[in-house]
Amino acid sequence: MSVAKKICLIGRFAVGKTSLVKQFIEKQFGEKYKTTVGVSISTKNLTVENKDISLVIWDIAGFEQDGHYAHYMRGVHGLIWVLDGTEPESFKILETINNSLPEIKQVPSVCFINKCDLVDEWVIKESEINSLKEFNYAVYKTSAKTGENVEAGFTKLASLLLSSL
Amino acid sequence: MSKERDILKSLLLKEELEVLNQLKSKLLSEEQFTDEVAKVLSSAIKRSQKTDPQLEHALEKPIKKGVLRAFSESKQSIIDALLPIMGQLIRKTVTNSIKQFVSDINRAIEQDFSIKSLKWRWQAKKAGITYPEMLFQKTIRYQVTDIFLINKDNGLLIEHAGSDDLLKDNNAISAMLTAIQSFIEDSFDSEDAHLQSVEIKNQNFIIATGPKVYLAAVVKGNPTERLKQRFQEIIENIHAEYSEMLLQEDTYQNNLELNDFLRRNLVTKSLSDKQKEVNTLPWILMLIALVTGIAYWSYTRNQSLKNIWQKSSTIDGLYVQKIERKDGGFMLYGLLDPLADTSKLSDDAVTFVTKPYASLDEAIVQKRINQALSHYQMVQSRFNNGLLTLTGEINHEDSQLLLTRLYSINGVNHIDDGALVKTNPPTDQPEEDLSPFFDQINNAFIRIPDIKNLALIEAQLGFIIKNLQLLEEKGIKMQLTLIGTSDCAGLLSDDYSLKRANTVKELIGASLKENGFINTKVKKCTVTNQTNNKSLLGVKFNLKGL
Ligand SMILES: Nc1nc2c(ncn2[C@@H]2O[C@H](COP(=O)(O)OP(=O)(O)OP(=O)(O)O)[C@@H](O)[C@H]2O)c(=O)[nH]1
Ligand SMILES: [Mg+2]
Repeated sequence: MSVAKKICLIGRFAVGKTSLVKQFIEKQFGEKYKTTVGVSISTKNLTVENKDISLVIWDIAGFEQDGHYAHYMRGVHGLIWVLDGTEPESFKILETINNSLPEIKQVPSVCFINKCDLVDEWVIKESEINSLKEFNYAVYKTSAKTGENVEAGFTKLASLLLSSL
Repeated sequence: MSKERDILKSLLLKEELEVLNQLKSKLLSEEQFTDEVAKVLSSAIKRSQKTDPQLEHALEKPIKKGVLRAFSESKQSIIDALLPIMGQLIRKTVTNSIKQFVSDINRAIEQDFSIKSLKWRWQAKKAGITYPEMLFQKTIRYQVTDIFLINKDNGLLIEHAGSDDLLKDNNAISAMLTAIQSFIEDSFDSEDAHLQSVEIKNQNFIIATGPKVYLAAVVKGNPTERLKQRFQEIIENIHAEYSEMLLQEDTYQNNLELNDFLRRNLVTKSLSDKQKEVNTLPWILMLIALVTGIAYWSYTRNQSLKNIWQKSSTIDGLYVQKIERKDGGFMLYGLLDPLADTSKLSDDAVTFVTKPYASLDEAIVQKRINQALSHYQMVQSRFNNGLLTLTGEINHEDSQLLLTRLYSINGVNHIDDGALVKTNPPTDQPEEDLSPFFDQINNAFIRIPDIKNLALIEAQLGFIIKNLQLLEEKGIKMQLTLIGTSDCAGLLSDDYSLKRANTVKELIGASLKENGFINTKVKKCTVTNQTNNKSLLGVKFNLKGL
C-alpha cells in the first residue's frame, strides 16, 4: 500500500496550474482557458527512489477570495507555488499567502515559474528567482505547453515528501 | 281677473305653496336628492329585499360586473385581502387530507397481524418506538455498498470498505468529498455547515461528520432518517474507540481493525431480506401453480397413455409390445390378428405398427370357426377352452371337408361332432342354367372387314371372352368351333375365312386358361359372287357343352 500525500497548487489565476496538472497526468496541453472553480482534484501514483507514493493533487482556483485557501490547504503535505513568468502580478502570491498562513512555511514546497516556452516575454528578473529559492526547496522553470520540467518538479516534491517520512 | 285670483290663491294657500316650493327645490337639486336617498337607501334595500323578490335579480348583474372589474383593476389588493384566508384554507385542507391519509395508512398497518408484524410490534415496543415507525425501518429498502472513513482536514482516505472498483479512485473521491466540505464551510463561512449528502459519479453519498474524521457512505435506494442517525452513531463510536489511530497517517489504508469495523457496517442484505419476505410469496404461489400444472399435465398424459394400454389389453387378437407417444397421437407396436376388432381405439389416434399373426384368443378362434361355418347354415357351434362342439345337420359329403377345415384352425384342439347329424346328399341337385351364356355366344357374329385391324376385332370379342371365362371357371367342359365366313367374292375367300377364324381363336385363347377346346373351320363358298360385301366377312361361333 503506497502512502498518500496531499499536495496543493497555489498561484494567481491563469498562471497555468490546471494546465500543469494536466500535463503531468495526461501529458496533454490545451490553449483554451477554463478557470477552475473552487478546487479540482486528481491523483497520481509515482515511484520515487523505489518508494511508492500516491499524490492527491489539489488544484486550487487562483481567483483570490479572502482566505479561501485556508480551507483547502488544511493538512497539506506539500505545496507547489505556481508563478507566470509573463505576469508580474503573479509573483506577489507567495508573500500574501505566507503572511496570512504563517504555518505553511513548514510545509515542503517547490516553485514553478511557468510558461517558460514564452521566455522572451518573461518579465521576471534573475534576482527575483533567487529570492524565491529562499522560500522553496527548489525552483523550476516549467512549461505546461512543452512539458518542460513538469515531471521533474512534481517528482522533486514527491521525493521531498517521502524523505520527510 | 287672474290677478285677483292669484291674490286669492296666495291668501288661501300661502303655507301650502311654501311647502310645495320647498319640496320642489329639494327634488330638483340632484345633490340634495342624493343626500335624501342616501339617508334611506340602506333601509330601503333591506325593506325591498323582504318584499320584492326581484331586487336580488336586479342587483345580480351590476354587482357581478363590479366585482369582476374590481378584480381586474386591483388584483394585488384583493390577493392581499384573500391571502390570510386562503392560506389558512389551504393549510386546513392539506392537513386534513394528510391526517386522513396517515390515519388510513395507520389503520391499514394496525390491521396487519401477520407473524412478522407481531414480531415487529414486539421489537417496536422494546425499542420504544411506534409500530408504523418500526415497519418503515424494516421495510424501507436501501443498501450501503461502500463506506469511506476520511481525514476531515486533508481529505486523505483513512479506510475504505466495500467494492474496490466501484469508484476506481478512492483517494480522489475522499479528497473531492473533503473539498466539497471545505467549499461549503467556506461558502457559509462556518465550520458547522456540514455536507450531509452528495452525489458524485452517480453515487449517492451520505455523510456523517465527527471532530477529526468523517464518514461517507454510498447508499443505494432510499436511506431512512434512521440510517443517517446510525452513521452518526458509527462516527461517534469510531472517535471513541479508535481515536489515536485516526490521525496516524502512516497507518492509513492499512488498518485492518478499522477496516473490519467499517465492513461490518455495510448493508448489502437489507434489500434482499425484505424482498424475500414480500416478493417471494407470489413466486411461491406461481411455482406451486406451475408444479401443479406440470403434475396435472403429466398426470393427464400418463392417464391417456394408461388408457390406451387398458383399452388395447381388452382387444382380442391384439398383442401389444409397446405404445409410444408421437405427434399428439400414439404408436402401437405389436402383433395383430386380421380378425381383431380395433374399433375401441378408433377415437384415440392410434397408429398400428403391427405384424399379422394368428391369435389364440377365444373370441378370435370363435370368429374363425364362424367364418368356416358360414357356408353351413344348419350347423351350430359352441367353443370353449379349445373344445368345439358342433350340433345341427350337415350333408354327409361336406362334413369331412368341414371337419378338416375346422381342425386346421389354430386353437381348436378338439371337435365333438357326435351331435351333428350327417344327411345324405340330395340326388338331383338343381343345375345352374348356363344356357344364356351359350346362346349369347352362339348368336354372335364378329365382323372382320380388315384382318389387320385387331383392335376392332378385340372390341367385339369382349362379352364372348367374358362368358367363356365364366364357363371355364365353373369347370364346364365345352367345345367351341369358330367358323370363318366370307362374301365369296374372290377365289381365295375360303383361305381368308380360315385366317379370320384363326385370328379370333388366337385372341380368345390368350384370355383363357386353356384353349384346347377351340377349333376352327370355314364356311366354304359354293359359288363365286361378283360383288363385294364386307359385312359378310367375319366369324361365327358354335359352342357346345360336353
Ligand atoms: N504558452 C503557455 N500557455 C500556458 C502554459 N500554461 C498554461 N497556459 C495557458 O494559460 C491559460 C490558463 O491556464 P490554466 O491552467 O487554466 O490556469 P489556472 O492557473 O488553472 O487558472 P485558474 O484555474 O483560473 O486559477 C490557458 O489558456 C493555458 O493554455 C504554458 O506553460 N505555456
Ligand atoms: Mg485552473
